[in-house]
Amino acid sequence: MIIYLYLILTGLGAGFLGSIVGIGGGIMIVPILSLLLKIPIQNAIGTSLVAVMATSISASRLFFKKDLTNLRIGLFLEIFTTAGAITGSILISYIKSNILFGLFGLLTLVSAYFSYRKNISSKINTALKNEKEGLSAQQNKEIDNNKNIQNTSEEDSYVYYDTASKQTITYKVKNYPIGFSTSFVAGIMSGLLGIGGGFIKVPTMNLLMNIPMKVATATSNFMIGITAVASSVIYLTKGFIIPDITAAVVIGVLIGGTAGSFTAYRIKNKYIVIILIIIFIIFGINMILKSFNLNLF
Amino acid sequence: MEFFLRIMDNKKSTEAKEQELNNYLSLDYMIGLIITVILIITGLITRNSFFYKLAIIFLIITPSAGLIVCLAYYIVKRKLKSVMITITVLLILAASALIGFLNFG
Repeated sequence: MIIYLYLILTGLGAGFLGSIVGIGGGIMIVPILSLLLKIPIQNAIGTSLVAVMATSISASRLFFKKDLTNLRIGLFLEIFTTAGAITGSILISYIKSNILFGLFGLLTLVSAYFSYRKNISSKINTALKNEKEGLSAQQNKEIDNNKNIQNTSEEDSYVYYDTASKQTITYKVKNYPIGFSTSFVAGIMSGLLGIGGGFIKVPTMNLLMNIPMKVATATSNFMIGITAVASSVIYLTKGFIIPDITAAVVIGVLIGGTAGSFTAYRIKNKYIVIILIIIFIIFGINMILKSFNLNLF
Repeated sequence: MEFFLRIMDNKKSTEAKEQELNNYLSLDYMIGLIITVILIITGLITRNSFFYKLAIIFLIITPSAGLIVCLAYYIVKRKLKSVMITITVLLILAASALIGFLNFG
């Protein structure tokens, strides 16, 4: 009976963090189930896929209400993600998993570094510069807003209302080709490892496509659910999804996901980025160790 | 690649707000969640795994139904390029499932 408590707790943690940072939580669920709870890896991945969908559904529901999800960008990138998922499911027979884990770990650490540099390090530098020039934070914010509006044409811009700063934010999406290719890569990873691929999509959308973190998180959540559908059908038909185990994890994920998305739009972007960076570092190190057949947890 | 870029640069189809569609999707996801939770609770009460299986199937159906909601919305609003995008996603999803069945089945 205690195993079900652990399963629910696993779902709770994965759902909460997953919905905050826009990842499905699959990378957290698979190691916990297979390494700590000794559930066979195929069943762990099957459970994870269903949990990823549950996280996506529970978080997206609230993101839809807040109009944070950019459906147009999400659906468009999903073309490449699902195409990548097909490629991934074909490639799985030819690529050694050790190589994949190594590359994946490096990619995750690089994403953590760029997230830090763009969202935290640059803000610290700007604050120091303003201190020298005698500008207040409010003056700097006004300058930034004006720059943003002036540089953004109505033709290809999007808007969303930021509850934390109580401002309507206008943003212009750029670098579509990079978005297409990274979505394709995220799809490949999803097909190979049974994860949502949100930890590739969120930094790409935020850092390279100029999509605000909250919108990127919401859009990624929406995309993850769709990507996980195809793989889940296969796992279900092959019997890799154990209903009792999956139901317990899903209960936890649903509660955690709802709590996480309530928190996501109430806290400032900085905190989301810090959580994202910590998770990236942990997973990055774990994946690199896994490529040498070692495990951090 | 240029074809995709042209679609994204279209002025009419880059409307910032799609609150109405968001509301429909939110409703779809909420119904999916409620049914899933009810089925899991029923499974717990009756101690019957069949309800858990059914709950999992409902979870799988929910995002797919969301895509169909998007498709219906875009057809009604006559956003042809968005219709094309949604149909493409649905087709690739179907193809992905089919290839999966052929590979593993």
